[in-house]
Amino acid sequence: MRDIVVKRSTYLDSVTLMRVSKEASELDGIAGVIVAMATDTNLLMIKEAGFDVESLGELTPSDLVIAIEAQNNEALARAHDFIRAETEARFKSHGEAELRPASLDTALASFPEINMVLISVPGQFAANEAYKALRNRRHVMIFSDNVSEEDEKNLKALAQSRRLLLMGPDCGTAIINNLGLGFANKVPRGEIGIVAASGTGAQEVSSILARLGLGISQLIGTGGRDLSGQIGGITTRMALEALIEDSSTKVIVLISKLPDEKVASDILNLLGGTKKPVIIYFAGHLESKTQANLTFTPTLTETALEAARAATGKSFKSAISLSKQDEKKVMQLRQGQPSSRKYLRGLFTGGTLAQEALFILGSTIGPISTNTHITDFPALEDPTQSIEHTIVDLGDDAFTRGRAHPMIDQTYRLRRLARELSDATVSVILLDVVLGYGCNDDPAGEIVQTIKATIARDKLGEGDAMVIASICGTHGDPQNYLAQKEKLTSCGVIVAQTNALAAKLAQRAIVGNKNA
Amino acid sequence: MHEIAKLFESRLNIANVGSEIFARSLEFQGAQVVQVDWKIPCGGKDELISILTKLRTRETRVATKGQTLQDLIDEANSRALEIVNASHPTVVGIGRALDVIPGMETNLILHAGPPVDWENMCGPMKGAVMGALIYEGMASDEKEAASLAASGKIRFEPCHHHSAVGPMAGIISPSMPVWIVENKHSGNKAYCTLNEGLGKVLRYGAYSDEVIKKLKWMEEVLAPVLGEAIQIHGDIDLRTLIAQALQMGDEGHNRNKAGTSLLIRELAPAIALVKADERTKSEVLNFMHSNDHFFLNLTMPAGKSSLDPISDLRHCSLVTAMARNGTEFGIRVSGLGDRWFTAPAPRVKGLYFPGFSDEDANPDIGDSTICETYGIGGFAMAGAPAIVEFVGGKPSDAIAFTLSMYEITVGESSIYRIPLLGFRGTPTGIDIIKVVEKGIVPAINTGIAHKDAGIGQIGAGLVEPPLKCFEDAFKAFYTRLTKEMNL
Repeated sequence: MRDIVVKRSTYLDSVTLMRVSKEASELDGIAGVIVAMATDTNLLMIKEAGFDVESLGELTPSDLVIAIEAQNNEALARAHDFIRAETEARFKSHGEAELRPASLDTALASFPEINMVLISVPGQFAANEAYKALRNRRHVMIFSDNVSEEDEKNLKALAQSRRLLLMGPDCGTAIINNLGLGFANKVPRGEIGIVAASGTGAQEVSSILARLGLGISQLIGTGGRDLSGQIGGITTRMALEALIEDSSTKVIVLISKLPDEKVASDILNLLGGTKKPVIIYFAGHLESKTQANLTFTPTLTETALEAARAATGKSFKSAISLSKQDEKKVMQLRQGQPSSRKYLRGLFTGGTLAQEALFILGSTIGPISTNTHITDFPALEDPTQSIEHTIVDLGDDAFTRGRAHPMIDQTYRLRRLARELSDATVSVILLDVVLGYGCNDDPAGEIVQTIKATIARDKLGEGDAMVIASICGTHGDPQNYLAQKEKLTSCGVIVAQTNALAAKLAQRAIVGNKNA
Repeated sequence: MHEIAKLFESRLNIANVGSEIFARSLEFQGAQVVQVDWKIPCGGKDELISILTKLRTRETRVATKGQTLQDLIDEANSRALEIVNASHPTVVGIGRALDVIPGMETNLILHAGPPVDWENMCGPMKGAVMGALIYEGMASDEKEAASLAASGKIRFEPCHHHSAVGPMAGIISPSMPVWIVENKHSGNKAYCTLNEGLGKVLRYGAYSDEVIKKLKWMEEVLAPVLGEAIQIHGDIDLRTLIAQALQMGDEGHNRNKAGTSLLIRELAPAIALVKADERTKSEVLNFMHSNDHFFLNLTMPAGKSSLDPISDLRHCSLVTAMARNGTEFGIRVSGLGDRWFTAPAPRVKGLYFPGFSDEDANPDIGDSTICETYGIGGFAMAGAPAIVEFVGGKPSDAIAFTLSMYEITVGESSIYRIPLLGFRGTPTGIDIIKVVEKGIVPAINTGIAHKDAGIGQIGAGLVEPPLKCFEDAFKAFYTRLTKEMNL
């Protein structure tokens, strides 16, 4: 039996809801539970799970929907009790006079020492909170996406006039004074300063550097739209100026998608005015070149290598390269696959990693459909359905509205992974596994569990799809790089050193097939 | 030094608004994190959220660059709070309503709350009007009084329109004696009747002979004795009395034991010197002594006289009056002048005297919510834990009530303080923007009137004002602001 009810005007954090849904699903006599805010994406998911969403009448994103599939009435009642207790326990704790200010203004008034406000509420509410922080002269990081361009522009103008740092909106990663904010890896303190419009791009570069033993002075996120003509690079400019001035920063790295032409020339002018070496990754800018102190790189991996060289004077190229052994294994697996297996499926949690893979693969394996908004590649009409070669960014707005980011909650990716594994036309599945603070506790473990379960269910074996992954993380991360790698390799996943190398391995596999 | 350079050299202290995962991982890294208990603003209503965002991001375009509408409002609000805090309510005497209340006329009856006509008045208010007409000698009985009230020969206006306030039905008729409270800082005055005590009383709609007899005694005996005593004593500083009462377990609205005792202590030596016989003077003292709420009719005009000076400040989003007529709840907002924003009066949640229940209760009534508007009453509950028993609460609930009121006020009282909160000033200056954003309405302590005229008080408890009044005022405030700023 399926039961669906709504609790109006109730807000609970998507991570809390994820936990409650999961725990309630594990109760006796319960087949499945979805507790979620009534956003379009969530409603679609609930509908797809077979619940009568229409019966609830008009819904707004501030309504909480509880959908339960139970074997009998008793189990249903138990699940409701459980969910009530779990969601109301939160409200009860509000009543106690504990150290939990009821609003940001109260927090800022009560704790004058606060100098940074981290905002991850649903996008339409983020601007209002950011505004309060800026008015009260605090620096801000807006993790939330779905903030309007108009709000971003107004907020950045305000931040600029008060000389405050406004990272985001849609800023996934920052490391300030060696503290990771949002999704960030445990990296040593060092001399390389990073300004990044992309969270996973920054994570990839800082993690590779950390694995090479090099550290970060500051990692400042700007939000994906900062270098657009509309926003004009306000945050990037302020961040770069700060790193140019900062005496602990010896090398500067700038990571962004291809910027607006005028904004780019402003920024490059600014960077030309410093003597510090600057390594620039503009996604899609595929040629390597060096002009005075500026070096342009085509991949995140090379960005990290160039930064390492600028910081130490040594080349690290031999430390990070395609492993012959992996290459051999990939070719072997490929040869075992029937010719009907042709396609690549990339399931990414990091948008910039998805894009990097696309740029590396380019047109070498034929057209790749994607939802990453890169015009050179055919756009997926429905990102939930793969077409031939497909690379999807599961962290895109369409997937994250009203749910936790896939770097926290892999539920959808795992379902999709199982589907791609069972697809008889798939040759290679390409994954990113992102570690760090704020991320899923055991992403590799969950992936392995799904792979094993799918293999058992579909009796998969030799000649079926291969999985190639890279791990964006460090040995100091709470999930531990080596432990995660061990889990993946133990069930046959080929783990490349970096995302760029994983993409190249995938390319070899697919192209190798064509040659055969 | 550049702000960002300063950040690089400081220890990072973070406020986390949103996912607790980030707070936990920051704590794991050894950082100081304050987790904010965030809720969806404006109840998730798009129109209100959009106004809120515009207030906070739109520039005024007229003044300093970078100044937002909210900056402008904040300036006005802090000026207003200064004015309220500087106010100095003082009893300067007792007079006859017709002689002292501005605009009072022989055929005018003042009532509590926003405007209401005879047909729409609730039972207790109708009863009180009839009682007042009998008391004034304009009608000889209930029937005559009712037809006179309905005839159109009698005009009805809110007390608030005449610098006055009245508890419950809040009826003031021309012959009634009233306290004259002067705000020594701004020079304006406010008026309120003398409290009749408990049981069958006019303010709860009773109009029997004994009610009228008592009103006459108050006019002919009580008022002259007190008036002369005040002359002998000199002005009574209400600010000091209220401040002391709040530190003695009163909150100034639903509990006035301490305030009443302090007033008696203040006046007793002077009463002893009044030219009247001993028995009369004893009766006066005993009348005050037997009525724990005698002081309420002074905290109310103290509030009114302190808030009137901010009743029409440009760009100020503070509430200047909350009042109920038993049919509707209404508020006024400084930047919107004398406009009322109303919604149906809510029910009071509370404890009933034996023999009464929810079904007997009249919807919320009276001007006494001026106390909360002024930063006492429900807002000072942390200092009056005995009050929460009305709703079966614990002392910790009283503290929680006061703490939550800091969320919707612009500041704190510089005079009224709460010992239990480290002598923190009471939350003062209700800001409609904060009320609407947070969906937290003012906490109000109040008495419950029987719905039928003449039965009187049947309980006491807490009442939640309708959010709609605040939302409507918020929209009107924004419309007016953008018009004034030519946006």
